[in-house]
Amino acid sequence: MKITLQVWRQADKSSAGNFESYTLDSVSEHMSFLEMLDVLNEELSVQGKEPVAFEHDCREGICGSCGFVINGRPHGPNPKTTVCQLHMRSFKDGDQLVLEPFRAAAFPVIKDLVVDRSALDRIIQHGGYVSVNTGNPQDANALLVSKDDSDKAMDAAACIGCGACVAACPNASGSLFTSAKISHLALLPQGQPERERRVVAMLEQHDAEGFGPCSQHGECEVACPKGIKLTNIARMNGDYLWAQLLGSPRVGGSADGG
Amino acid sequence: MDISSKAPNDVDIRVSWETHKFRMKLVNPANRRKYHVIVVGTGLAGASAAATLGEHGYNVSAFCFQDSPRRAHSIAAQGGINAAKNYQNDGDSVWRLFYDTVKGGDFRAREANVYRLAEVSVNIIDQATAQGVPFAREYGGTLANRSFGGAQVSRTFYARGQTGQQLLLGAYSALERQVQAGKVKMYARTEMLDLVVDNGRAVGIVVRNLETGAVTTHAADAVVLATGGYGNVFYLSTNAKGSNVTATWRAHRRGAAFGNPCFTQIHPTCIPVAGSYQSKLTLMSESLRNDGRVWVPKKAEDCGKRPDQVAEADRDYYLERKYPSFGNLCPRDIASRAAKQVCDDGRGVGPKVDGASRGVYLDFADAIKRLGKNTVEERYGNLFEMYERITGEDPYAVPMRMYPAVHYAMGGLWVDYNLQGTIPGLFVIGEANFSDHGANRLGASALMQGLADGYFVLPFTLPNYLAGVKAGVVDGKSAAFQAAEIEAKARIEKLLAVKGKRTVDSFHRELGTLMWEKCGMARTREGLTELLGEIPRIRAEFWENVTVTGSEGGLNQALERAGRVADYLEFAETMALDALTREESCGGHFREEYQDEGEAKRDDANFCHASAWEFTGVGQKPVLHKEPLEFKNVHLATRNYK
Amino acid sequence: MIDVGRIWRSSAGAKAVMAVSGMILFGFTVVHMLGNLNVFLGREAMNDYGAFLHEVPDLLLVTRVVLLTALVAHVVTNIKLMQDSAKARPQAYKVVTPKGSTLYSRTMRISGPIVLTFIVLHLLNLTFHPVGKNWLHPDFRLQAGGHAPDAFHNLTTLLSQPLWGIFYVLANLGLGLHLFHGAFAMFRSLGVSGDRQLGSARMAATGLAVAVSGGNVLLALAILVGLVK
Repeated sequence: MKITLQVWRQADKSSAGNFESYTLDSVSEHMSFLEMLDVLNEELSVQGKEPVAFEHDCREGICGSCGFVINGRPHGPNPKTTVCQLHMRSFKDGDQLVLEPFRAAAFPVIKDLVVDRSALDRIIQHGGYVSVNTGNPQDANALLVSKDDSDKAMDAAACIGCGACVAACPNASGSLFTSAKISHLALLPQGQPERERRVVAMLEQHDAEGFGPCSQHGECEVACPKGIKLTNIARMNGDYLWAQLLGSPRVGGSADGG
Repeated sequence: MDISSKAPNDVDIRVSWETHKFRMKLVNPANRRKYHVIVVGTGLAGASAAATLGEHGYNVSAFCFQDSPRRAHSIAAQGGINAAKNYQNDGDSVWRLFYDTVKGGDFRAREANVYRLAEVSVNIIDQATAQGVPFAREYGGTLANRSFGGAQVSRTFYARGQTGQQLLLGAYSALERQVQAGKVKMYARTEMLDLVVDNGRAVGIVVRNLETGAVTTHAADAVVLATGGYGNVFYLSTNAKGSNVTATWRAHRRGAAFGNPCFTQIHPTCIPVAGSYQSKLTLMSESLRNDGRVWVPKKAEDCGKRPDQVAEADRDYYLERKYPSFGNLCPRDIASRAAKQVCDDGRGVGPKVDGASRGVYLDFADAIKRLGKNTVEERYGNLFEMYERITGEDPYAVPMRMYPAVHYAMGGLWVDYNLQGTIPGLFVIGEANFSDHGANRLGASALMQGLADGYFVLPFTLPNYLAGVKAGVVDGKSAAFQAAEIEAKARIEKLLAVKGKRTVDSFHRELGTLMWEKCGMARTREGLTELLGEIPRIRAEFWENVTVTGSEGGLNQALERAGRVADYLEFAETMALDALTREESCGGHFREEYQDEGEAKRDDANFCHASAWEFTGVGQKPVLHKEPLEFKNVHLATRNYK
Repeated sequence: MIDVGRIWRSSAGAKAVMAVSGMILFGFTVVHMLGNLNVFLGREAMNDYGAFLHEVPDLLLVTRVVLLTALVAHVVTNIKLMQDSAKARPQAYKVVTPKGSTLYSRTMRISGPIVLTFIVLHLLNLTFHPVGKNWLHPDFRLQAGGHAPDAFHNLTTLLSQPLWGIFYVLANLGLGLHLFHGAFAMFRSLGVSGDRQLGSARMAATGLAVAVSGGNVLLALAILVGLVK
């Protein structure tokens, strides 16, 4: 089938970008979206033109590297599907697709469709862990965890850190990402000792990185390729307010990393 | 070249690691901050090592080519992680895990290493649980287990079909905690281009910042490589697109011996190739074989029919037929070759690519009947979804189609019991080394080895080395550093200067196709010899006719790939040579000349050794060193899964 | 000490301020709407109710201070939040395809100013009467012998004028939209994460939002078309 692409091209962080148009005439419906871009890039390379830069690695929907916006949808139109797992059978002959990078102040564009998501790492640095040194633990079964709690924690922990939630949010908020990690640990007994300081430090780092506030639009939940729920944001909000209003007075600041 | 194992063979294997730990030197806590360690790669092995060394007080610089350490390919491991916890009280023990791993590896691993791996496996589960890794649990609140390919006990811990992801996020969180504490400096989007060796010691690396293109050097008291496997030498594999051999190959060129490069694992359950544009293969967790039944039609003429139109009597459940006691759960290499055999017979299913159907059915109809759709969904729901997304077929209604694909490299840089390579100060952990899996890795053992090395082995053995060298004496401006940097820059310029007509991927694809045909699931003397003639030709053409667009400054993905493919074009030759030289079949290495009715036939008289290759120059024949393997605890026996 | 400034500066804290102030204002609209229904009972009922509200001046003052504080907090915090989200996405997408959000949530920035304008005009219409007269009302009166306004007269004479009547209908529809998203969002902003609890709270709040908007619109329409005069 024939597909026309309008792709955001931008040389580097400091350059201005613009859209360029490309047409592919024989796209197979069994190709993944990235394989379709591979074909385009092979053609461009042979012509001596610079291929379109896009991020990808595992191509099986788990590493979280890939992600750009197709016709206004991060990772494209299909629910719970990263763009590397999106196949061309989801489109039809003659479709015109606009490809844009994730747009957020906290995600500066490095090149074309590649953005800098190191802000997400810095949020994790501010408390997205249990401070336990290697070799300290007791036997794994010494602490029982209800299956329900464990399952809910796993639901939250499934986040792949791709940043689609930020891209989809009208406020470019990173609340879904941040709250998923906070919830994962808040739902488990192992996460309790640092629960208050974690939520304060991570949420304030989220804000410091320039992500917007959460207005409960729900766009993130729909865009999330791993089905992370808005409930996590509610839990984060509750934990934050609890920590700030009723919690230990020493809460907050960045976690010291132990 | 010294390839003595340094394992404490003078004591009972059950106390060998304890004894060795006591014999090793320690670094005083006050002195640790004076030492600087480089860790390249942030998968399970690298992240866990960097975090643990940071906790101990060393200064660590960690490097990964991905945009975040959390994206290393360990994240894609689905099925689980083994540990000899014996929580199920079904007869498991450290000894049994040790025994199973040695036997599963077809007696080509070092006994002492394997024992240690089994011994520390239990600590990994405790550590990960304490970090908040949400392993699956029973209603009573205890951890759940399942049995996994090749094991007759339930010793596999798992977090849905995302065990690698959860374990990596655990290690990554520990790493980020050390970043925040100032003990680890993280360099993401930074690729290692070369190892710096000065006065016979590994003292640093040359890296390229993939965002700015800047090439710089980093000096340290020791270098740890945790850079994963080389499965992408086949172009199509289940590895991530970025996975590469560059770090280990460059270390090899600097003097580190390469161990058993021909030992690669073919994973039996991957989604078949759909077309010539295919960019990678997707693995479906082996856990699917717990409940799915593998079959093809008995008659070739039934292969074009819809699966539901093939009568039960006309189906060949060939694994259950050939291996009645293990059935669909037989080890990976056996399951893979069996699939190849039935497809070679013309009984493969699915669409034809390049004239042949290469696929077998993995059928859940019986499991759905027996367990109900809900239970099947609970166990495999996310895998089924993934399959449907990729193929457009619903596995609840139609059997899945599977075919083997390259998945894991048992081979890697040769290391001794201390995980040190043949260059002092160079340590290699995780998939990047050759150590623990012999000629075949058991399912759910890769995660175990990566974390064992990073959390519980290297943090003891590395200080033993550091205690013997003076801290901070490495001169990052020495001639060795300058020369390595100049060389790396010159190579980049050379790649950009070719300005030929063929793309990097076209060379990679050509190499990969050849490797898969001649050095894949089944190998022959003839095929390998032919391959050894072809590789230098492709390499020569590459350097004459490759086109790399863009410049050396800034993000240039074509340039990144070009450097990696150039290294694969050198590495492939050593791999093929190793396969040719090992004139026996063992584990994942199947030489058609050496078989017993389709079963691998080892030659313990001549090949009971690990091969350690020493680099002598590109296109020059490397020197083979043999580390003899002794089996004092698990006696050499023919594997029999019938 | 609770660091109010720090909480307000944080995204979750600011949203909690929006939720709490919104909840106060929401509660007021419910009471206000119920009070308005007295109009259907006739002049006497309405004016007795109005006089009753003026009987305890301190209570009226406290209520007004609380409401004004909530309103100011709601508006000022919203300005901060809008600035934060504008800064968070300096470059807009070429193509925007909303999928998860609701019409109510996306129109908060329109319904908010509508509601604010309505509040100001409504106060000028019917509440402020510095000289016993109201310049935004054609015929403002106080009740005979009292301080309380002649609510029934003031309301019916105002809303029977087509422009005002239509404005009141539209403004209350805008208020409805605004309250809908408020009902949806405020509990989560305050940390209600249990699915069942959230479901019940939302259902109740959404019901109240419908009642407030619907009750007020019915009233305005009834006066506009002359059913009540």
